[in-house]
Amino acid sequence: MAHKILIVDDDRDFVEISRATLESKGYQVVPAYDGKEGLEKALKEDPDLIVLDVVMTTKTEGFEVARQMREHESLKKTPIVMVTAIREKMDISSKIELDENWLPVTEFIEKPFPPHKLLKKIDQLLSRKK
Amino acid sequence: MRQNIPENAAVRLSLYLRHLRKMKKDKVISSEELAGFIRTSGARVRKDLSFFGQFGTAGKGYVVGGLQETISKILGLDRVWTIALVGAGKLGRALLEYPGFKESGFHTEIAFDLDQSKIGKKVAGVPVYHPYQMPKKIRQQEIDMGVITVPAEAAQESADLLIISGIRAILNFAPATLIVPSYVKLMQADFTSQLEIMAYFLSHTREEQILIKRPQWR
Repeated sequence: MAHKILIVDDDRDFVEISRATLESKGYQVVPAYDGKEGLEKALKEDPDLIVLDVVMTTKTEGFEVARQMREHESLKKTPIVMVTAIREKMDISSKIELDENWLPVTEFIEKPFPPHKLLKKIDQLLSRKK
Repeated sequence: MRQNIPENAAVRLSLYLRHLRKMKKDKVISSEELAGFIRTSGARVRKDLSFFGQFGTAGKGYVVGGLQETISKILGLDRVWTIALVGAGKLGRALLEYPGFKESGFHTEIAFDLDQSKIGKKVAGVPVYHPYQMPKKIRQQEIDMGVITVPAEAAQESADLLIISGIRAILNFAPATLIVPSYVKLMQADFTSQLEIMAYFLSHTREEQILIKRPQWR
């Protein structure tokens, strides 16, 4: 059965490009375009992995969505790949540091990145999950 | 000489310093006298200071000026600490206008607020920027600490923005429980919570436990 990937991002172009790339490799993609929809679909669809954008309605909405996801038992161990252009857009000099309480995500990818980079990261994380 | 010390000891050092600053520098003070200011014991004072080495003269005490200087160094107050304030509303303005912080070496250099009427202007002499300018401004101004004075619902995002801007110490006045990484020092200054604790105390103290009765007009 195909792995199900939930992509939460208000950038529809990013969602469509990622969707095309992932579907061409046999993944099933569920899109969501804001944090609220993302949380609802994460609970309803039980994805194998979540791709989550940091900057949606507010600059750090993705952080809050990740924390809310982790509050649900069914999503506690689901890998979350956080994607963002926040570093470039906000002119942040250093990489955002992960912390399992503050930013409970598995990986962090900085936009812009080629679609195959996301595919490679997802392949790695799902093979690790097996 | 700095080492890991109990947080309570650091709080007491700050209180000792507050009283030492009011005294003449050449005066000699005993540990008992210093203890009296904050209602602790002389032994506690000696123990607090012993974390950092040997001070004073046995049987005589400490020279105020020297001790003041030493505690300032221990607390890292022998330098200026720069602060960014998030939320230039009524509470934020009150903090910006309070001269005591600057006198103790805490300089609020910049503030952030979403209110368009404040952005680009100064509140209590401090320039106000949009929160999304935080990483750049904080780096440019070499800010050390963040103070949050926004409504509860905006507090976590304010903290997140401070942290991704590189801030590692936050004082939060918003009535909200914040999630911060382990490497960030978060201090809560939640007035509502403090008032609730006092309300609980008053509600659960029996009249017979109080020696001085309430005046008749209550």
